[in-house]
Amino acid sequence: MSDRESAVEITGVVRDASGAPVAGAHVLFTDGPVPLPDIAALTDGGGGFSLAAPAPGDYTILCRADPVLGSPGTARATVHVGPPGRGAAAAQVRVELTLG
Amino acid sequence: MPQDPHSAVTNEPEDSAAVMVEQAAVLQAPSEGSQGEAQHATSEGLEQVENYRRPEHFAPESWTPPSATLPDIGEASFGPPPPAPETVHGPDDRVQITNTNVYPWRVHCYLLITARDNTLYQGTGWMIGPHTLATAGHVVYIKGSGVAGRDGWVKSIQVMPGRNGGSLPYGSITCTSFRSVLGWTNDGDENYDYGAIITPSNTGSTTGWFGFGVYSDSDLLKTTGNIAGYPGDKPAGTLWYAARGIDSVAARKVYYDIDTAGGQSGSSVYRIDNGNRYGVAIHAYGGARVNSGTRFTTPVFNNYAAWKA
Repeated sequence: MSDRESAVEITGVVRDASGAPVAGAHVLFTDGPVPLPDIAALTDGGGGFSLAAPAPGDYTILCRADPVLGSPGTARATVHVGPPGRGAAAAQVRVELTLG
Repeated sequence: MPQDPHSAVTNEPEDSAAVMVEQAAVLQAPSEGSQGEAQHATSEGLEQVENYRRPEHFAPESWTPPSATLPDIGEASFGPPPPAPETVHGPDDRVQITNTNVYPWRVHCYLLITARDNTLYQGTGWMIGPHTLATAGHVVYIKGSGVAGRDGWVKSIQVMPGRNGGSLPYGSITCTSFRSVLGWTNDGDENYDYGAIITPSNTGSTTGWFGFGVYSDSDLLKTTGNIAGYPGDKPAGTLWYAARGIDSVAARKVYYDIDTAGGQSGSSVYRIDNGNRYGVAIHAYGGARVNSGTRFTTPVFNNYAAWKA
Protein backbone atom coordinates (compact mmCIF):
# COMPACT_ATOMS: atom_id res chain seq x y z
CA MET A 1 0.00 0.00 0.00
CA SER A 2 1.52 3.31 -1.02
CA ASP A 3 1.17 6.88 0.09
CA ARG A 4 -0.76 9.33 -2.01
CA GLU A 5 2.14 11.71 -2.40
CA SER A 6 1.80 12.42 -6.11
CA ALA A 7 -0.93 15.06 -5.81
CA VAL A 8 -0.56 18.19 -7.86
CA GLU A 9 -1.37 21.45 -6.11
CA ILE A 10 -3.87 23.78 -7.80
CA THR A 11 -3.39 27.28 -6.46
CA GLY A 12 -5.22 30.41 -7.43
CA VAL A 13 -6.58 33.79 -6.56
CA VAL A 14 -10.21 34.89 -6.52
CA ARG A 15 -10.86 38.48 -7.55
CA ASP A 16 -13.97 40.60 -7.92
CA ALA A 17 -14.85 42.48 -11.11
CA SER A 18 -12.59 45.36 -10.12
CA GLY A 19 -9.63 43.04 -9.68
CA ALA A 20 -9.57 43.22 -5.88
CA PRO A 21 -8.85 39.90 -4.08
CA VAL A 22 -11.84 38.31 -2.33
CA ALA A 23 -11.39 36.70 1.08
CA GLY A 24 -13.65 33.98 2.49
CA ALA A 25 -14.90 32.60 -0.82
CA HIS A 26 -15.50 28.84 -1.13
CA VAL A 27 -13.57 27.03 -3.84
CA LEU A 28 -14.36 23.39 -4.61
CA PHE A 29 -14.14 20.73 -7.26
CA THR A 30 -17.41 19.98 -9.03
CA ASP A 31 -15.95 17.50 -11.49
CA GLY A 32 -12.75 15.53 -11.82
CA PRO A 33 -11.25 12.37 -13.27
CA VAL A 34 -11.57 10.44 -9.99
CA PRO A 35 -13.73 10.63 -6.84
CA LEU A 36 -12.40 13.46 -4.68
CA PRO A 37 -12.40 14.28 -0.98
CA ASP A 38 -15.52 16.43 -0.48
CA ILE A 39 -13.71 19.32 1.14
CA ALA A 40 -13.80 22.98 0.10
CA ALA A 41 -11.04 25.56 0.30
CA LEU A 42 -11.63 29.04 1.68
CA THR A 43 -9.74 31.99 0.25
CA ASP A 44 -7.36 33.82 2.56
CA GLY A 45 -6.98 37.58 3.01
CA GLY A 46 -5.24 37.85 -0.35
CA GLY A 47 -7.92 35.84 -2.16
CA GLY A 48 -5.61 32.82 -2.38
CA PHE A 49 -6.61 29.17 -2.19
CA SER A 50 -5.07 25.73 -2.69
CA LEU A 51 -6.63 22.41 -3.69
CA ALA A 52 -4.95 19.04 -4.21
CA ALA A 53 -5.53 17.20 -7.50
CA PRO A 54 -4.73 13.53 -6.79
CA ALA A 55 -4.58 12.33 -10.42
CA PRO A 56 -3.91 13.74 -13.88
CA GLY A 57 -6.96 14.93 -15.80
CA ASP A 58 -9.41 17.78 -16.19
CA TYR A 59 -10.93 19.33 -13.09
CA THR A 60 -13.84 21.77 -12.90
CA ILE A 61 -13.51 24.30 -10.11
CA LEU A 62 -16.40 26.32 -8.73
CA CYS A 63 -15.93 29.42 -6.63
CA ARG A 64 -18.76 30.94 -4.65
CA ALA A 65 -18.53 34.14 -2.66
CA ASP A 66 -21.30 35.60 -0.53
CA PRO A 67 -22.21 39.05 0.68
CA VAL A 68 -21.84 37.75 4.26
CA LEU A 69 -18.08 37.66 3.69
CA GLY A 70 -17.47 40.30 1.00
CA SER A 71 -18.10 40.59 -2.71
CA PRO A 72 -20.80 38.17 -3.95
CA GLY A 73 -20.64 36.16 -7.16
CA THR A 74 -19.57 32.88 -8.68
CA ALA A 75 -16.85 31.77 -11.06
CA ARG A 76 -15.94 28.52 -12.79
CA ALA A 77 -12.79 27.27 -14.40
CA THR A 78 -11.59 24.06 -15.99
CA VAL A 79 -8.06 23.14 -15.08
CA HIS A 80 -5.93 20.54 -16.81
CA VAL A 81 -3.52 18.70 -14.55
CA GLY A 82 -0.69 16.72 -16.08
CA PRO A 83 1.31 14.02 -14.36
CA PRO A 84 3.65 15.27 -11.65
CA GLY A 85 7.28 15.62 -12.72
CA ARG A 86 9.72 13.02 -11.54
CA GLY A 87 12.25 14.31 -9.02
CA ALA A 88 11.18 17.88 -9.58
CA ALA A 89 9.92 20.30 -7.01
CA ALA A 90 6.23 20.02 -6.11
CA ALA A 91 4.12 20.34 -9.24
CA GLN A 92 1.68 23.24 -9.31
CA VAL A 93 -1.07 24.59 -11.53
CA ARG A 94 -2.13 28.21 -11.21
CA VAL A 95 -5.63 29.55 -11.94
CA GLU A 96 -7.22 33.00 -11.72
CA LEU A 97 -10.95 33.27 -10.95
CA THR A 98 -12.95 36.46 -11.46
CA LEU A 99 -16.37 36.67 -9.87
CA GLY A 100 -19.25 37.32 -12.21
CA MET B 1 4.34 -7.47 13.28
CA PRO B 2 2.03 -5.44 11.00
CA GLN B 3 -0.04 -2.79 12.69
CA ASP B 4 -3.82 -2.84 12.56
CA PRO B 5 -4.90 0.06 10.31
CA HIS B 6 -7.78 0.69 12.70
CA SER B 7 -5.27 1.42 15.50
CA ALA B 8 -6.33 4.75 16.92
CA VAL B 9 -3.96 7.71 16.75
CA THR B 10 -4.17 11.26 18.01
CA ASN B 11 -2.32 14.56 17.75
CA GLU B 12 -2.02 14.58 21.53
CA PRO B 13 0.76 12.94 23.58
CA GLU B 14 0.71 9.14 23.44
CA ASP B 15 -0.39 8.55 27.01
CA SER B 16 -3.68 10.38 26.44
CA ALA B 17 -4.59 8.46 23.27
CA ALA B 18 -7.74 6.39 23.38
CA VAL B 19 -7.16 2.68 23.15
CA MET B 20 -9.29 0.52 20.91
CA VAL B 21 -11.24 -1.98 22.93
CA GLU B 22 -12.48 -5.21 21.39
CA GLN B 23 -16.14 -5.57 22.17
CA ALA B 24 -19.31 -6.85 20.60
CA ALA B 25 -20.90 -4.22 18.38
CA VAL B 26 -24.05 -2.69 19.75
CA LEU B 27 -25.90 0.47 18.84
CA GLN B 28 -24.72 3.66 20.47
CA ALA B 29 -27.77 5.63 21.52
CA PRO B 30 -28.57 9.15 20.33
CA SER B 31 -29.64 12.05 22.56
CA GLU B 32 -31.93 14.94 21.73
CA GLY B 33 -30.00 17.31 24.01
CA SER B 34 -30.98 19.23 27.08
CA GLN B 35 -32.51 22.35 25.58
CA GLY B 36 -34.91 23.47 22.89
CA GLU B 37 -37.10 21.65 20.44
CA ALA B 38 -36.79 18.27 18.77
CA GLN B 39 -38.36 17.30 15.47
CA HIS B 40 -39.77 13.88 14.75
CA ALA B 41 -38.89 11.89 11.65
CA THR B 42 -41.37 10.33 9.23
CA SER B 43 -42.27 6.66 9.25
CA GLU B 44 -40.43 6.30 5.90
CA GLY B 45 -37.07 7.01 7.51
CA LEU B 46 -36.91 10.61 6.27
CA GLU B 47 -36.62 13.88 8.12
CA GLN B 48 -39.77 16.02 8.10
CA VAL B 49 -38.92 18.84 5.74
CA GLU B 50 -41.70 20.76 4.05
CA ASN B 51 -42.26 19.64 0.45
CA TYR B 52 -39.35 17.17 0.59
CA ARG B 53 -39.94 13.71 -0.83
CA ARG B 54 -37.30 11.06 -1.24
CA PRO B 55 -36.32 11.06 -4.93
CA GLU B 56 -36.33 7.74 -6.68
CA HIS B 57 -33.74 6.58 -9.16
CA PHE B 58 -33.99 8.41 -12.43
CA ALA B 59 -34.79 6.85 -15.77
CA PRO B 60 -31.73 6.07 -17.88
CA GLU B 61 -32.73 8.61 -20.53
CA SER B 62 -32.63 11.44 -18.00
CA TRP B 63 -28.84 11.48 -17.81
CA THR B 64 -25.85 11.41 -20.11
CA PRO B 65 -23.43 8.57 -19.47
CA PRO B 66 -19.81 9.56 -18.93
CA SER B 67 -17.72 9.33 -22.09
CA ALA B 68 -15.06 7.28 -20.34
CA THR B 69 -14.99 4.73 -17.55
CA LEU B 70 -13.91 6.59 -14.44
CA PRO B 71 -11.68 4.66 -12.05
CA ASP B 72 -12.13 4.99 -8.32
CA ILE B 73 -9.54 7.20 -6.61
CA GLY B 74 -8.30 4.20 -4.66
CA GLU B 75 -7.27 2.48 -7.90
CA ALA B 76 -4.66 5.14 -8.59
CA SER B 77 -2.82 4.47 -5.37
CA PHE B 78 -4.02 1.25 -3.84
CA GLY B 79 -5.05 -1.14 -6.58
CA PRO B 80 -8.44 -2.37 -7.77
CA PRO B 81 -11.49 -0.75 -6.16
CA PRO B 82 -14.59 -2.56 -4.94
CA PRO B 83 -17.18 -3.31 -7.67
CA ALA B 84 -18.30 -0.01 -9.18
CA PRO B 85 -21.98 0.65 -8.54
CA GLU B 86 -24.19 1.70 -11.41
CA THR B 87 -26.06 4.78 -10.36
CA VAL B 88 -26.86 8.34 -11.30
CA HIS B 89 -27.17 11.57 -9.36
CA GLY B 90 -29.97 13.15 -11.38
CA PRO B 91 -31.23 16.65 -10.52
CA ASP B 92 -30.03 18.43 -7.39
CA ASP B 93 -32.67 17.68 -4.76
CA ARG B 94 -30.97 19.16 -1.72
CA VAL B 95 -33.16 21.35 0.47
CA GLN B 96 -31.97 24.08 2.81
CA ILE B 97 -32.59 23.72 6.53
CA THR B 98 -33.11 27.03 8.31
CA ASN B 99 -34.41 25.92 11.74
CA THR B 100 -30.92 24.76 12.69
CA ASN B 101 -31.46 25.27 16.43
CA VAL B 102 -33.87 22.30 16.47
CA TYR B 103 -32.80 18.65 16.95
CA PRO B 104 -31.69 16.87 14.75
CA TRP B 105 -30.34 19.80 12.70
CA ARG B 106 -28.27 21.33 15.51
CA VAL B 107 -26.20 18.12 15.71
CA HIS B 108 -24.53 19.01 12.37
CA CYS B 109 -21.57 21.36 12.64
CA TYR B 110 -19.87 23.67 10.17
CA LEU B 111 -16.09 23.22 10.40
CA LEU B 112 -13.57 25.94 9.58
CA ILE B 113 -10.25 24.13 9.32
CA THR B 114 -6.82 25.74 9.58
CA ALA B 115 -4.14 23.47 8.14
CA ARG B 116 -0.53 23.32 9.35
CA ASP B 117 0.50 25.86 6.70
CA ASN B 118 -2.45 28.12 7.61
CA THR B 119 -4.45 27.38 4.47
CA LEU B 120 -8.19 27.31 5.18
CA TYR B 121 -10.75 24.63 4.40
CA GLN B 122 -14.40 23.95 5.09
CA GLY B 123 -15.87 20.63 6.22
CA THR B 124 -18.70 19.12 8.24
CA GLY B 125 -18.89 17.15 11.49
CA TRP B 126 -21.65 15.75 13.68
CA MET B 127 -21.99 15.32 17.41
CA ILE B 128 -21.79 11.73 18.68
CA GLY B 129 -21.46 12.56 22.38
CA PRO B 130 -21.20 15.45 24.85
CA HIS B 131 -17.71 16.46 23.65
CA THR B 132 -17.03 14.44 20.50
CA LEU B 133 -17.72 14.94 16.79
CA ALA B 134 -17.34 12.36 14.07
CA THR B 135 -15.84 13.55 10.79
CA ALA B 136 -13.65 12.37 7.92
CA GLY B 137 -10.01 11.48 8.54
CA HIS B 138 -8.90 13.97 5.89
CA VAL B 139 -10.61 16.75 7.85
CA VAL B 140 -8.37 16.32 10.90
CA TYR B 141 -5.24 14.90 9.23
CA ILE B 142 -4.21 16.06 5.75
CA LYS B 143 -2.57 13.34 3.70
CA GLY B 144 -0.97 13.47 0.26
CA SER B 145 -1.69 17.15 -0.43
CA GLY B 146 1.42 17.51 -2.56
CA VAL B 147 2.47 20.50 -0.47
CA ALA B 148 5.35 20.29 1.97
CA GLY B 149 4.34 21.65 5.34
CA ARG B 150 0.62 21.02 4.92
CA ASP B 151 0.33 17.28 5.49
CA GLY B 152 -0.28 16.15 9.06
CA TRP B 153 -2.64 17.06 11.88
CA VAL B 154 -4.45 20.30 11.18
CA LYS B 155 -3.62 23.23 13.43
CA SER B 156 -7.14 23.91 14.65
CA ILE B 157 -10.81 23.57 13.75
CA GLN B 158 -13.55 26.02 14.64
CA VAL B 159 -16.70 24.01 15.28
CA MET B 160 -20.02 25.81 14.74
CA PRO B 161 -22.99 23.59 15.69
CA GLY B 162 -26.16 24.32 13.74
CA ARG B 163 -24.69 27.25 11.82
CA ASN B 164 -27.20 28.99 9.56
CA GLY B 165 -25.41 31.56 7.45
CA GLY B 166 -24.41 34.39 9.75
CA SER B 167 -26.27 32.86 12.71
CA LEU B 168 -24.34 30.70 15.20
CA PRO B 169 -26.99 29.44 17.66
CA TYR B 170 -24.38 27.57 19.74
CA GLY B 171 -21.39 29.80 19.09
CA SER B 172 -18.02 28.74 17.74
CA ILE B 173 -15.70 26.37 19.60
CA THR B 174 -11.98 26.27 18.79
CA CYS B 175 -10.75 22.67 18.90
CA THR B 176 -7.18 21.37 18.81
CA SER B 177 -7.65 17.75 19.93
CA PHE B 178 -8.11 15.21 17.13
CA ARG B 179 -8.29 11.46 16.56
CA SER B 180 -7.89 9.20 13.54
CA VAL B 181 -6.40 5.78 12.72
CA LEU B 182 -3.15 4.50 11.23
CA GLY B 183 -4.91 3.29 8.08
CA TRP B 184 -5.49 6.94 7.26
CA THR B 185 -2.55 8.79 8.86
CA ASN B 186 0.09 6.29 7.68
CA ASP B 187 -1.37 4.97 4.45
CA GLY B 188 -3.93 7.53 3.27
CA ASP B 189 -6.26 4.62 2.54
CA GLU B 190 -9.80 5.84 1.84
CA ASN B 191 -11.19 2.71 3.52
CA TYR B 192 -9.93 4.14 6.81
CA ASP B 193 -10.80 7.79 6.16
CA TYR B 194 -12.42 8.62 9.49
CA GLY B 195 -11.59 10.74 12.50
CA ALA B 196 -12.92 12.68 15.44
CA ILE B 197 -12.77 16.11 17.03
CA ILE B 198 -12.77 16.44 20.82
CA THR B 199 -14.35 19.68 22.01
CA PRO B 200 -13.07 21.43 25.16
CA SER B 201 -16.63 21.88 26.43
CA ASN B 202 -19.71 19.64 26.63
CA THR B 203 -21.64 21.40 23.86
CA GLY B 204 -23.14 18.08 22.79
CA SER B 205 -25.09 17.91 26.03
CA THR B 206 -27.02 20.93 24.82
CA THR B 207 -27.30 20.13 21.11
CA GLY B 208 -27.78 16.39 21.52
CA TRP B 209 -26.08 13.84 19.29
CA PHE B 210 -26.67 11.00 16.87
CA GLY B 211 -26.16 7.36 17.70
CA PHE B 212 -24.25 5.08 15.36
CA GLY B 213 -24.33 1.40 14.58
CA VAL B 214 -22.97 -1.53 12.66
CA TYR B 215 -25.50 -2.92 10.19
CA SER B 216 -25.45 -5.85 7.81
CA ASP B 217 -25.22 -5.40 4.04
CA SER B 218 -28.86 -6.35 3.58
CA ASP B 219 -29.99 -3.92 6.30
CA LEU B 220 -28.08 -1.05 4.69
CA LEU B 221 -29.29 -1.80 1.18
CA LYS B 222 -32.93 -1.53 2.16
CA THR B 223 -32.61 1.59 4.27
CA THR B 224 -33.01 5.26 3.40
CA GLY B 225 -29.74 7.16 3.68
CA ASN B 226 -29.98 10.72 5.01
CA ILE B 227 -27.22 13.34 4.75
CA ALA B 228 -27.08 16.90 6.09
CA GLY B 229 -24.06 19.13 5.80
CA TYR B 230 -22.47 22.35 4.66
CA PRO B 231 -21.82 22.26 0.89
CA GLY B 232 -19.49 24.91 -0.48
CA ASP B 233 -21.58 25.52 -3.61
CA LYS B 234 -24.41 26.99 -1.50
CA PRO B 235 -24.53 30.30 0.42
CA ALA B 236 -21.85 30.51 3.10
CA GLY B 237 -22.43 28.35 6.16
CA THR B 238 -25.91 27.11 5.21
CA LEU B 239 -27.14 23.61 6.06
CA TRP B 240 -28.60 21.36 3.35
CA TYR B 241 -30.36 17.98 3.53
CA ALA B 242 -31.03 15.19 1.05
CA ALA B 243 -32.02 11.52 1.21
CA ARG B 244 -32.05 8.49 -1.08
CA GLY B 245 -31.55 4.79 -0.88
CA ILE B 246 -28.13 3.28 -0.24
CA ASP B 247 -26.77 2.17 -3.59
CA SER B 248 -24.22 -0.47 -2.65
CA VAL B 249 -21.91 -1.49 0.14
CA ALA B 250 -18.37 -2.81 0.39
CA ALA B 251 -16.55 -4.22 3.40
CA ARG B 252 -15.43 -0.80 4.61
CA LYS B 253 -17.41 1.63 2.42
CA VAL B 254 -20.98 2.67 1.74
CA TYR B 255 -21.96 4.05 -1.69
CA TYR B 256 -24.95 6.28 -2.41
CA ASP B 257 -26.13 8.85 -4.92
CA ILE B 258 -27.36 11.28 -2.30
CA ASP B 259 -26.28 14.72 -3.52
CA THR B 260 -23.28 16.29 -1.82
CA ALA B 261 -20.61 18.89 -2.66
CA GLY B 262 -17.19 19.99 -1.48
CA GLY B 263 -17.51 21.09 2.14
CA GLN B 264 -19.61 18.10 3.17
CA SER B 265 -16.67 15.87 4.01
CA GLY B 266 -17.35 14.42 7.44
CA SER B 267 -21.15 14.58 7.22
CA SER B 268 -23.24 11.90 8.84
CA VAL B 269 -24.76 9.31 6.55
CA TYR B 270 -27.56 8.19 8.84
CA ARG B 271 -30.66 6.09 9.04
CA ILE B 272 -33.77 6.62 11.10
CA ASP B 273 -34.86 3.62 13.14
CA ASN B 274 -37.89 3.86 15.42
CA GLY B 275 -37.55 7.64 15.33
CA ASN B 276 -33.89 7.55 16.39
CA ARG B 277 -30.96 8.63 14.20
CA TYR B 278 -27.97 6.31 13.78
CA GLY B 279 -24.89 7.06 11.70
CA VAL B 280 -24.03 4.24 9.29
CA ALA B 281 -21.12 5.95 7.49
CA ILE B 282 -19.02 9.12 7.49
CA HIS B 283 -19.26 10.93 4.16
CA ALA B 284 -15.84 11.45 2.58
CA TYR B 285 -15.77 11.38 -1.26
CA GLY B 286 -17.76 12.89 -4.09
CA GLY B 287 -17.72 11.21 -7.47
CA ALA B 288 -19.13 11.78 -10.92
CA ARG B 289 -21.53 8.86 -10.60
CA VAL B 290 -21.62 7.96 -6.92
CA ASN B 291 -20.56 9.36 -3.56
CA SER B 292 -19.12 7.36 -0.72
CA GLY B 293 -18.39 7.26 2.97
CA THR B 294 -16.47 5.19 5.48
CA ARG B 295 -18.69 2.44 6.83
CA PHE B 296 -19.31 1.83 10.53
CA THR B 297 -17.76 -1.59 10.94
CA THR B 298 -17.00 -3.09 14.34
CA PRO B 299 -13.49 -1.54 14.63
CA VAL B 300 -14.83 1.86 13.53
CA PHE B 301 -17.66 1.55 16.01
CA ASN B 302 -15.27 0.59 18.81
CA ASN B 303 -12.97 3.52 18.10
CA TYR B 304 -15.81 6.03 18.15
CA ALA B 305 -17.22 4.47 21.33
CA ALA B 306 -13.81 5.02 22.95
CA TRP B 307 -13.44 8.54 21.54
CA LYS B 308 -16.82 9.67 22.91
CA ALA B 309 -16.10 8.31 26.41
